[in-house]
Amino acid sequence: MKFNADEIASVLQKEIANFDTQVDVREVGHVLEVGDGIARVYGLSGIMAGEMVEFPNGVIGLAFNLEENSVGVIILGDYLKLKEGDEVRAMGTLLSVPVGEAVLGRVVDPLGNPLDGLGPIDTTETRPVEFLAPGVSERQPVHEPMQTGIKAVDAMTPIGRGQRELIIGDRKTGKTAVAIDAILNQKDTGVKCFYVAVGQKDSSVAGVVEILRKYGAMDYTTVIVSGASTPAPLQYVAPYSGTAMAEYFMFNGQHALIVYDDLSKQATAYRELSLLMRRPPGREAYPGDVFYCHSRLLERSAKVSDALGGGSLTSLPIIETLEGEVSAYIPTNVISITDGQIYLQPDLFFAGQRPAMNAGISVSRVGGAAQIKAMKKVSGGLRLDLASFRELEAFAQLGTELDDATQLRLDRGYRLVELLKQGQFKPMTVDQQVLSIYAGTTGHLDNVPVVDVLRWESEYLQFVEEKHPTIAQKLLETKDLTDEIRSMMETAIEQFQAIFVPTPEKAAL
Amino acid sequence: MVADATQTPVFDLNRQKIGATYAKALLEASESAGAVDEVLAELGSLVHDLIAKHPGLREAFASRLVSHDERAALLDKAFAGKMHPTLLNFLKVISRRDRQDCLFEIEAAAVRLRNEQLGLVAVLAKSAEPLAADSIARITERLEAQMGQKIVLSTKVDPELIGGLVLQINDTVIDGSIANRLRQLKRETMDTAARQAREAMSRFTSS
Repeated sequence: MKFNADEIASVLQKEIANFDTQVDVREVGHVLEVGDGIARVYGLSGIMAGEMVEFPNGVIGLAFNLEENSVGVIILGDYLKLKEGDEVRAMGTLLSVPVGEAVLGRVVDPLGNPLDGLGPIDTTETRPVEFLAPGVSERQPVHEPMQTGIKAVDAMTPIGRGQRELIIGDRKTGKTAVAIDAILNQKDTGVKCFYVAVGQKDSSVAGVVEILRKYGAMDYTTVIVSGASTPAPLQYVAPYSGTAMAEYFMFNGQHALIVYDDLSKQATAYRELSLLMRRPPGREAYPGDVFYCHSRLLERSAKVSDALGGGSLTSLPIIETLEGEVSAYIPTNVISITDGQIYLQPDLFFAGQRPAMNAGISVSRVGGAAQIKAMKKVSGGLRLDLASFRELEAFAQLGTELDDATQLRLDRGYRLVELLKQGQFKPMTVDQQVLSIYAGTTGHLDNVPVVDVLRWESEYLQFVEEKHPTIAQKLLETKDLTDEIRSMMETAIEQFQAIFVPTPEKAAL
Repeated sequence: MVADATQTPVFDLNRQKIGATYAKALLEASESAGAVDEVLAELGSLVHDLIAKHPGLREAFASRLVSHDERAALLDKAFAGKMHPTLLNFLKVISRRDRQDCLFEIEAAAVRLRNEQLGLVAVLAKSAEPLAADSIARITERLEAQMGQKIVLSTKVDPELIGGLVLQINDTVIDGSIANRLRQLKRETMDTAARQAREAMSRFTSS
């Protein structure tokens, strides 16, 4: 390939000929001091809070603190090249990011600049990063299910479109895995997904992108990255800019899902900024408005009214706890903001129960409204059964003699726990979930050895798919557990039990 | 040698605040003495013509090694009878309060406050070459007509502008310099060329 210099020259010549000079009017200030991602600026007397400013090398900043004699600016970019006395220029606009279909499938930074080497983002539309959440009259109750494809979550803590469900747990308990599975399961549902990585290792973000690409989820997903090496201001802004991109779809009558991974790191970045800006520290040295920082972010997830197109934005914020301490400041804040939480526990995780969800304290405050009727019916008693099983299990470990009824409940419990295990990147459709949970809760697994439960499930699902495809069809059609479907499932299970070969006792031990 | 701030006029927010307070007091004192303009002119001349140009004097005045009494005696000897008594007293006050290092800020704040009182607007005109007297007059006239306010024009030469004129009114900058136009031109041609290259790369290449 050879470059054609004449052609380039002609374009430039035309541009110069048509260049219309304007006198540039701008409001300016001067840098007093720079450090750690913030700058103190003298001047800029007419600037408003949240307004964008530009530094001489093109770096963008945000007016963060307006003081009597100076303006505190957070620098969204490389602050090492700025120096004292540099001219800072008010831009008169709010920070906004590119939005639209063009951002899907891309990896971008919090300002919407591409990081994936696939060229510029080809869109003319932008949205402000900070945007007021929809008001009361602009919303409607959450009523459509947002299937995560994870049995345990969809059965016990169902998530609806427009809901905010917190994923909370210690490090290495599979928080990101739950969120990634939820994204993978949105394939063919038309839900656009956004994964906001805040303060993560770039290697783990690259891993996530690779997984999304491998399972074909990058077609409808945008990844917004502000890694651990980026300055705190960018980490602070990242969730807001991801939300702005997702809101575009919500306000256009479509559905979106956003994962904030994770908000504890964003709170830490915000704490850093606030302390550098000399805002007074409060509990755990977080500033007083760290609650507002998260509440205004999560309030932007909503199911909007039909008049506005009926779109929705579901969010799955992630919070990392230390040693299971949910009563720390940030976890309690976010728990109180969200509509429920999925609590992941390390001991369950290491006991092999994955997802390691603690059914007792995981809740969804939207509840059954976000489930199809069939699922509601089969999973009705599941949570309570599991909770009472956990109690009994602790009791049974004392080695007491148990009566038959108690033993039966224990056996049922062991099998239900086993049934709720699910491999990573293996989302299940809602009809499959109904089929397997029905078998578990109605006691058909009581005589299957515990080690065989998962094999039984997968073989049974395959059997139904091949021999009784009408069950799935009917389920998806009526979305209800009619007597007809119930009897069809009973016959299917009966037929399958006859051909299922349990692992020989010795091998099982 | 004692390091003091008057040697290198560094911008300091605290000194700015202190300067504003002292300037206000000075203006009020000279107003009751009925000699505001005289005091201001003498202060300006003291700061810009004397202290700024004679480092030795600056050290003697600002150094903390010199005690207040010595300095007061020095001030009396140097300025008594030649300076308005209000200004002389004021200098002794700032000497006693150890605020000699804020003298530059006090002067700047006093001029600013006085301009505010008189409804004057300070305008800084920057150009690549020194401005001719008639162009200064024309600029002043035009600006006064535009803004409907009296202005005080100060000028500064900055060869980096290449040509044209930059006016600064408070925090607003009106930039008509050649340097800025070149910057704009560069940005726009780069944008256009990049956009056109994106749209049709084949136009610029021959394989």
